[in-house]
Amino acid sequence: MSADASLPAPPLDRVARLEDLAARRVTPRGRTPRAWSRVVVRGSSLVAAVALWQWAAVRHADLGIVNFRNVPSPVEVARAAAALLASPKLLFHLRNSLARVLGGFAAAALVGVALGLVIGRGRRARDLLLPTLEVLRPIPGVAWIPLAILMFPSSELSMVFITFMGALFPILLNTIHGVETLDRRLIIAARILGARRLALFREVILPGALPSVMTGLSIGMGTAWFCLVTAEMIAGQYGIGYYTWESYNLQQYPEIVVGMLFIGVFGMLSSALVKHGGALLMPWHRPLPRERTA
Amino acid sequence: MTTTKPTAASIDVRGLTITLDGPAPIVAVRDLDATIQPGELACVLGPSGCGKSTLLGALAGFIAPTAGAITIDGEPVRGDRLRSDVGVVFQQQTLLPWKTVEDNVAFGLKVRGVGRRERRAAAHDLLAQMGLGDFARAYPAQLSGGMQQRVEIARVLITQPRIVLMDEPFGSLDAQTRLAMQELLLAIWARVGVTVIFVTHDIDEAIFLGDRILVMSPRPGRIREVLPVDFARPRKPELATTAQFAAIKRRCLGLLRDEPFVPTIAPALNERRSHVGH
Repeated sequence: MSADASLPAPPLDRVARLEDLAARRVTPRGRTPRAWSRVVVRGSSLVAAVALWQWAAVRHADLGIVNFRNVPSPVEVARAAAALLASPKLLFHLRNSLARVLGGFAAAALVGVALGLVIGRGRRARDLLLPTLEVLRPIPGVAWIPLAILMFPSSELSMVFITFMGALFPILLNTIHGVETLDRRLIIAARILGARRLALFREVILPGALPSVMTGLSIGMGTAWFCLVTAEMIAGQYGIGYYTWESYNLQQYPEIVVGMLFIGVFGMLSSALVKHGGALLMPWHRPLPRERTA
Repeated sequence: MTTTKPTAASIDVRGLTITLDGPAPIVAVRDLDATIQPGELACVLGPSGCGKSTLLGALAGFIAPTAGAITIDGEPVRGDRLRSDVGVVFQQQTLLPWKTVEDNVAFGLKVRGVGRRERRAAAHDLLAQMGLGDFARAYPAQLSGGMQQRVEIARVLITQPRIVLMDEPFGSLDAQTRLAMQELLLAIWARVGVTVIFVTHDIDEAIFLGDRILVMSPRPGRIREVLPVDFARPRKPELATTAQFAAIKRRCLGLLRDEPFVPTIAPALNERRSHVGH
């Protein structure tokens, strides 16, 4: 019917702009290497790091300010990890940690997103709630540990609470930001089309804030793990943070590193979960296909 | 087509003055009179910043008049309430990025409580008319500027407004796409029979589209002159090469240029002149 109806299917009409073409020339220094050679380089980097660690641990390297006298070697760590994987203790610790972190995180997500939406939208809610929250915000979740132990009847609840406090503010602040930075033209356009309060909230404000909310959730998941591990080390019975600290107390040095690795792996997995959930919730929010820089 | 012809509305603007408040209040429109016939396609032509958009805002009901009155079919427009029978197409696309094209188009029906099946059918029908039948499932970001603007128009038309206000809707499109969009708009308008107020600063566009051209003065905006455009419809782009077209264009150019030219260095010049005068 008209000139551009015959354009190819998406991605459509990304007409080459001069600045984009020029920007393509601005890549990190050096010739762009081939894909397989990058895999080799990345792999060697990891292998070299582990080899360096093995060497330092076996030689009990003393570098003056830091020494490796009590650092277990990768081989010892691998052996301890294998032993832990085979024992029922692992599942027990992991189950405890995961229940705490997910409980605290879920509560923080619920409270943070709900408060964030209300504060981001309403002036009254903002005046009512934000001052208190601003006072609490600079207090790190970890700083709540002593008081939390005093406040909650069980150490289990106090750990969940600390995790909650750790995750709450990143989620809350990002949600507020998402609502505030939402393009007002979208809101007015939707209103002209007849959207009223509830529809506006559900159809425009909530999805519009979602990318920011997901950023908050992803950061919140990170801080949730951080707070949980600390709380477990101080107040815990069972849990992967507790396991790590207990290994230190029992002078089982390889187990310390095993605990650290498990914390890392599960932190990574839960972040990936959040990210994946975000991608599922926001099919429109795919980053534009990047120019192949590699 | 599921839509029945909406009854197009007439618009009457009397002595409209709008002062936009802010740190330095601006009188955007002063003492403006205009009458728009039902089903008319009226183009409002004027220089940048002459209050064209402010006028549309007042017609849509989201800017309150400081003085004067607007009536639609004899019924006064309130400055604090959006009218459900007035649709607005903006220059920049305001489609919801998280909704597919079909859901964007169906949005106005959804918030009016129309069922999913029915509103989708209406959306597909309208999209097909706009030449976008194959893109119902795409997201707005995947469309070209011209396609996005067609979705905008479809999204407004689906609610069967009695008046459609268009604020330089094709202003950011390239010349070819703009021409195609103008033809498409005329075809759709002929079919729907809605009253359209089309704001533009493009003289050719105003002449090609309009039944009449309301030429505005620089700010504070008034209607300087109303030019009838009596070309038969349907109009073809070749119209722009005719002598009559050129005559109207010359008249518009004259009206737009006729204003006292105020260069930005005016104060300094005046000062020097006054020195010479002494």
